[in-house]
Amino acid sequence: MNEQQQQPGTWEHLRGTPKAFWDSMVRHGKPTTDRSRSQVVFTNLFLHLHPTRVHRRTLRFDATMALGLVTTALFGVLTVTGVLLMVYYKPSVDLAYDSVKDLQFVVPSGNAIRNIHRWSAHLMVAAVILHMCRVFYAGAYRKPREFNWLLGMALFVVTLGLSFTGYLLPWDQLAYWAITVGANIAASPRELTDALGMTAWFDPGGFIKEVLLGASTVGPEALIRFYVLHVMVLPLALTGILGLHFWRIRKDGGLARPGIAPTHAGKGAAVGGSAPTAAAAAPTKSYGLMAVVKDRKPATNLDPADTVPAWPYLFRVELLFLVGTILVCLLLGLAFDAPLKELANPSVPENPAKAPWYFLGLQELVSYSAFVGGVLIPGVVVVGLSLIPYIDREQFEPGVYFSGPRGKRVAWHSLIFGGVVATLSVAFPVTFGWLRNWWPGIPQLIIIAMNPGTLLTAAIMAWSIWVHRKTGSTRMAAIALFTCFLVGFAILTYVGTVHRGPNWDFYWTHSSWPVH
Amino acid sequence: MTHPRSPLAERVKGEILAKDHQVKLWLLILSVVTLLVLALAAINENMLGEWRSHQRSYRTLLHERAVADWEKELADSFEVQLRQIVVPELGAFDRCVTCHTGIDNPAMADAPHPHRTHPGDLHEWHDVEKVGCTVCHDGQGRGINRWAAHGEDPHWEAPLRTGAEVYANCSRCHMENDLYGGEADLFSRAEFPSPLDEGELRASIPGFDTASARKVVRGKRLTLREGCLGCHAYRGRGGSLGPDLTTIGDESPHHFSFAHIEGERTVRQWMLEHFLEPERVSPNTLMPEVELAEEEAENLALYMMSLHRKGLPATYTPDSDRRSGTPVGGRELYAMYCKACHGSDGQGSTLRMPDEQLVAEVPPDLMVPSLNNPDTLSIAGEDYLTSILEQGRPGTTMIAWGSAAGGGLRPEEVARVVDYVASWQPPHPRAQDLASAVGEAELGRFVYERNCASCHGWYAEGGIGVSLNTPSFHALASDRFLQETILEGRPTSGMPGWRQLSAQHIADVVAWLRDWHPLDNDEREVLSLAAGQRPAGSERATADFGRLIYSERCAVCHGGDGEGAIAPTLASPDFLALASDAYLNTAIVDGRPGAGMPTWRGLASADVASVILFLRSWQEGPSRRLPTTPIAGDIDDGAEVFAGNCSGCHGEHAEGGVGPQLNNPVFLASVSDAMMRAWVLDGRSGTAMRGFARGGGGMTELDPAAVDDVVSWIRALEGQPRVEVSKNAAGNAGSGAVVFEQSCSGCHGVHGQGDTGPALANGDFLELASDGFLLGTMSLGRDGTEMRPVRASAQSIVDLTVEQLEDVVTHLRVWEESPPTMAQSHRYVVPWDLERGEQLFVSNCAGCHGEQGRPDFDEPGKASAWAPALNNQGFLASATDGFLQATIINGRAETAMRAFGDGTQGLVDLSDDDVNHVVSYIRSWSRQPDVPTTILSTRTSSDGHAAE
Repeated sequence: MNEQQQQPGTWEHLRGTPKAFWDSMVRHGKPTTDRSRSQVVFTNLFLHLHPTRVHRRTLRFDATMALGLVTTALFGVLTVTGVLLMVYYKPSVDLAYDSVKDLQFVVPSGNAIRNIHRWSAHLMVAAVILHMCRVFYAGAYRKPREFNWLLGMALFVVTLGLSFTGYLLPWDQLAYWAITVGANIAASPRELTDALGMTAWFDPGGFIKEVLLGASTVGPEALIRFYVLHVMVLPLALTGILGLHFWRIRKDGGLARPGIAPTHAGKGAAVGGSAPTAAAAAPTKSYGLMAVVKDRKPATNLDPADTVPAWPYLFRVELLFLVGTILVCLLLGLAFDAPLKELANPSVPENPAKAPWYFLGLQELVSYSAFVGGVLIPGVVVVGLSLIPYIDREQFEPGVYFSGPRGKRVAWHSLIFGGVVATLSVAFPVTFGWLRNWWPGIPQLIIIAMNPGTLLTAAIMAWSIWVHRKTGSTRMAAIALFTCFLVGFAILTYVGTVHRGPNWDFYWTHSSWPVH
Repeated sequence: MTHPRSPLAERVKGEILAKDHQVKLWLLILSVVTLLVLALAAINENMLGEWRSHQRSYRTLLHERAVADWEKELADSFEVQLRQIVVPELGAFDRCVTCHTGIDNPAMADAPHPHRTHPGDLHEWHDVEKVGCTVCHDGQGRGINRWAAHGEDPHWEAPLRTGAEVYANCSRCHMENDLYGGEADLFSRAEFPSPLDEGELRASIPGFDTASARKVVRGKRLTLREGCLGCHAYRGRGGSLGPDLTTIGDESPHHFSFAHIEGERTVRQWMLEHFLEPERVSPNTLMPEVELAEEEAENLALYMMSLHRKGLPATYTPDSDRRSGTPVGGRELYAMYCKACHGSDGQGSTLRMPDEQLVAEVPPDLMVPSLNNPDTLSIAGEDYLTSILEQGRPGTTMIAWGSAAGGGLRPEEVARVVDYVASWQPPHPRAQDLASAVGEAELGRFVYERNCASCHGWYAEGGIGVSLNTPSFHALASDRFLQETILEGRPTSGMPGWRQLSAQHIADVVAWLRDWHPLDNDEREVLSLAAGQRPAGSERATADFGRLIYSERCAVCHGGDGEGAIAPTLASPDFLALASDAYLNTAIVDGRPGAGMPTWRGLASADVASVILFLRSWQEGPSRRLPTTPIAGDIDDGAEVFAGNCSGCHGEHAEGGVGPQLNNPVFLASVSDAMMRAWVLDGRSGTAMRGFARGGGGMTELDPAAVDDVVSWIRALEGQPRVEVSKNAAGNAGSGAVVFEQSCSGCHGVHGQGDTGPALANGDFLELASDGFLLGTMSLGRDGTEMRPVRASAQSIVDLTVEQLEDVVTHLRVWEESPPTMAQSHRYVVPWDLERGEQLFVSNCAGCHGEQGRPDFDEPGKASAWAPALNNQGFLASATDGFLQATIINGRAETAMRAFGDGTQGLVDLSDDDVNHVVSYIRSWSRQPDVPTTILSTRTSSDGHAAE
């Protein structure tokens, strides 16, 4: 090669610009070898959330059912459509409804964007719940993933918060009264303080409601508060926690799967329970790629034969579900219009006024006792779910659904038991009424203590304890508890959604509602 | 780092690659599908769609119809784009013109929908660019598809209005068409003052659909006529039993229950069916079924749809009825507010029983009392009606209508309604009928026993009412006093007015009353005795005996030596010279009814003659002989002379003043013209009457002809209605008050409110009672009652001077003008025995009124207390004890309230005391010792002793 040839001309400079630009951005050519593939992953900010190589089981659908991925994809869809909606939406009581009408009628694709946003929000709540179920039944909360389970719980709560705050923004009757119901659920400690006669000087329920709404009723203050929460505070919180959630997946050893029980059995695992002291831990650690990780090596005990490069196999699957998710949202958005009722009118209550569907189980419980439905049971559920990995420290194979056939059996029995009990807890009061119908003068405290909600909870707990006695396994007890909770949630939500009509009375079908 | 490739690893790799192949394939498919969907969506939104195709066909239409070049250019330049009219002032963002592009293009009059020109020419007045579409037509202006724009979306609150319904929207801007608007408004031109003919109307308002406008105006008049406002409020005025109507036209279909609607589910249809059959459409509604023709119901529906929210808050413009100039009369107000419940003629009604749970505060059975029955009106009185109308009657459906209580009716409007209701009383018998009726005592007895005996006693000995059989009462009470009291009653005392009695019946009753005090002498006998004849057995008729009678009966007023005091001087030689025996006899026997001189009918002939003989002892010289021929002067001149010279003392109408009452039938019947002439000319010594023949002393000298004229004028009074009452006591009210408190208040109460004696501070009583009546009653007392003579006599307990009596009368007259203010308006009736009262109430009244005098809300199942609540403070403040007594005794015709009085043939005969026990028990619920002073005035009589 002579020098003239080595010195490219102006034309070559110009022609090579795109390639130079590309090279500067991705810093490597098309990865063909395992090494270069690994390089792609860890030189890319977004991709290096993934390990360079993953266990081949990770690619299997039944390992994850892609629920975490779908949830993340939905969050992406929501962010994009949400930003587009923000361009047109006017967060003021006078303008909000009209701006939504404008979105519906004149903004190019506005209606579709709003529909997609609405349906993906519902899908995301559902996906979060399903993801939680998947993780639970796979036992993937086991040490060392306990804290990530907690982060997941936080994400679950934030997702509900996002959906709930977004519910108010169209400022129609549906929004107004759903939020009013939701805020009243938040104010439910008042039932207890009322019953104890101390609301006058100690009113936590009223305080929560006032903090939430900025006033005693849903109004302009509530709208702007919900808007700020919905477009800024909660998305930022979600993004932050989500990052942490991903990071912990990596740092806790990737996807939980059978056969990765800690090699040093008994050390820091379920039996002792307490974390090893620093001194004791020192020799068991090694310096990995970028941090101190447990065990001697990063990606411990991976048989290279069982791994595949993340690029392109994992990413391709992920892309598939991303596109699939987008397509589903798109089809839903084009096919079904998001509801938009009449303009919010504080003087004309909706009857029945229903909270968003994921709170209808709670609303059903609230109809028995506000305190129990609004505070006690959700509190018990959230705290109980969070504590599962800390209470259930049993040794079992993670990544195996139901931890084997025995667990599957327990789950089936719990499904039936929970279904029967939850159905009874709805059917009994619907058919025979409850204490207040029989003894109108009964003190409210007794109803707070004795209502279908508390009895259902008690029955589920008793069942779980019985299972624990019978099997001697906390994991089995946890499966029993979780399954019953899930079934109860599903049945109550179903009844609240489908069978509750005006005045929260029971109706078999919507068509048998008294015509309003 | 190289790993030996194990067979296992190879197999794994193969699997992975196979799977990856599938993934790639699916990725491709999904990506393509996604892109395809996006592309289709983009095409659909940007190129297809309802409104685009409408505009394209409109463009084609423009091209087809284009003839001139400029029209072709116009058609070429027509762009398919979103079009809208924005009128922020009216809140209109109307994209209707996106599809209805040809709305203001006159060339499109025959084009197919949606391109057709707006029909009619109203839109020429209402420029579509300035007004928009939805202001008149409703629908969703922002919508750009038919479903959304025409409000077919069930969640859009204002569906499209077309046809006549559009006229219900005119009132959005043309405010005059609201309920209180004057008749000189836009729509009224279609109807008032007389329907204009079509051409005339179209000339004044082009494009006006008179038929539709008429419907709205007629609906409005129905609203005012059928009493809708009795239950429904409009702009802060009206009842609260039904929903407020102020903005009912803005209500969305959502607001209405279509469960029982047979026709299409529109607001108009709902209204229509609801007006025709309220109970079918809204079960449990209180709404009474109004007799409406279908067309009327349609009009009403349209009018209801025209009641819109106005730019100004309703409370800022409540008085628009004043704008119209003419105040709304009592009859119209009654129709607006009262008719729906009380009936078109005040006949009352029974509202349907509502669902108890829905309307817990209303008693289960809603009997609205009739107003037009004489019992109610005679017992209630205007003050009671006013009070109830203003304050309402809590516990019943009667709300407080007074503007002070938030009901919206101003005091003058309340007064108009009360006047209208009061006008249902039976007409007052004509004065001539009363005057000419000759009573038949035996018939009167029958009437008396049916109507009066339960209070006044079978022998008029008194009970709840006063005794009527005492001679001194009869001596002082004139026939007219009795007649008027019977007719008008004593409102606020227990004495109802008996308007339902005919003049003849009243005369009969008076005759029966007079029967207790019969005439006991004979004029001819008196005259012959006075002339000195002494038939056997009449030795008593001497002047000495007359002195005894005089000192006993007459001296109290005329003075021991006839020098005059309350009554005129008698020891006047020239008077006695003029007065014939016949004149004196008439004066003594018939008295001067209404003027204070009692009728001494009970004196025997010899006694009257004795008195005359005694009087003659003061006479000096012979009696003058006077001609008996009538004097024929000029009456008109006489009136002038009288007004100039006599009215100062005798009163403008000769009703009496400082001087005696001349317009007194008894006086006029007995006096001769010559006597009057002589008195006028010569005066009357010992009195202030000076002779006008002489003049002097500030008095004019009258020539004899003028005197004749005056006498003729006085004589002419005979045929005219008599001015009965003379009120001219000129005492000192202040010292009268002191005397009253010292001597009278023990029985009549410090404020004249009555105690053991009847109430005196009663406007109606004072109006009827003359000064003479009052002075006479005080001077003579009333035998058979606790009322003693207050001047020195055997029976008297105090001795008051004539001046003091006049002071007292003056003091009482002050009450006639300005009633006293009292700390306590109601005195519990005596005797009162709450325990007995409660027993009686529980056994006789609680069956309907509830044991506590009101519905027992704690036990709704208890089917009691459907009669109006008595135990509510408003009612107790309005109803006087007399009202309660009278209602208990007489019952109330045409309601379920029976008579409980003794002898009324009611359910139970309660004695007078028992009635009082019950009243005191009812009264014991009152927690309010004092009521506003405005109501107090007439609320002073308290125990039903009609205060004669």
